[in-house]
Amino acid sequence: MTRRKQNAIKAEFHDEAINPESRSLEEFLLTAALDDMVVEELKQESMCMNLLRSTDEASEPSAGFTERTIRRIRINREQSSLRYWSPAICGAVVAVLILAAVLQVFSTPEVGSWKNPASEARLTRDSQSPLSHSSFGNVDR
Amino acid sequence: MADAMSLNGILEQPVEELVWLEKGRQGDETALNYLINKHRARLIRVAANILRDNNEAEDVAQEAFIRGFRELRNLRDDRAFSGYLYRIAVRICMDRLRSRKPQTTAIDNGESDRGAQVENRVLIQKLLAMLSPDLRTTLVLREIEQLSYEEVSVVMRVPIGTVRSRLHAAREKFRELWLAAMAED
Repeated sequence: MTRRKQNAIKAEFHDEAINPESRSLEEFLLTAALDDMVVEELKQESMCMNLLRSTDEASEPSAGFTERTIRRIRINREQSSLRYWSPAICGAVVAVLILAAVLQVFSTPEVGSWKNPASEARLTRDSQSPLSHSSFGNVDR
Repeated sequence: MADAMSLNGILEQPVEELVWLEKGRQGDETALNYLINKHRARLIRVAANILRDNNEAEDVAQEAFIRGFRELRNLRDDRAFSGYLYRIAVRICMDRLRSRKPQTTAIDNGESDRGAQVENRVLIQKLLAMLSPDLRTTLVLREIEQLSYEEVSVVMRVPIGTVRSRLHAAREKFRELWLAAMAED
């Protein structure tokens, strides 16, 4: 019998072994013609798997597990919601700032001497140029 | 790959839960409470069996619930909710195993264990830690969780042939590690 076929028979035994009403290893070996080496491997594997199954972790959830989970779900939802809306919130803030700046520009009273007639500099015929008294003025003449 | 709906065991969903699931989808906390209480033991158990750490197992179960409820809209059939949560938990466990530093050193039973019978649980934990995440998860799902090949295939998203070959490799490797541990003891 090929090794591949013997491995298939080993797998068949392990599949049976999960069932509590399965045949014992000895009973199984009576019907399976396996090489001695494969039989030894199967015995060892069977022992290992029994050992593994015997260490089933049947731990109970700690107190408050459900409440903690619901709290985490709630926080997660709020974070997701915030992540979803944050671009819109940022856009709205920027738009409000721009709008406020524009309104500020247009609503501010006009200031500055060039717009104020009272402080407007005018050149009248009678007045003399300040340069006329300066040394530069004299030079020009 | 077999459809999750057609499988029995972990992947089937009682009809009465569908109402709670619909309420849970709308954010009803009473429904979330019911669903968490219903499924928590199974998720913690499978995570504890794969990770061999009860505290981490609770954390995995919580994360599975969070992801499960967050991505609930992706669930095509509410009847598959149980299997859907289970798959998420197993995937989180595998991610955590992959991020762990692989343990390749020889088994050290420690000073306290010398001259005494090696604690089975500790030994199994150490042997499992030396298996790759894929082999370890396949072995636990089949041998401890007692899932069928089809169920392991659906949960791990691999073909049934891969499940069979991984199981074979996992048993062989586990046996070799166990022999090495016994020889050292």
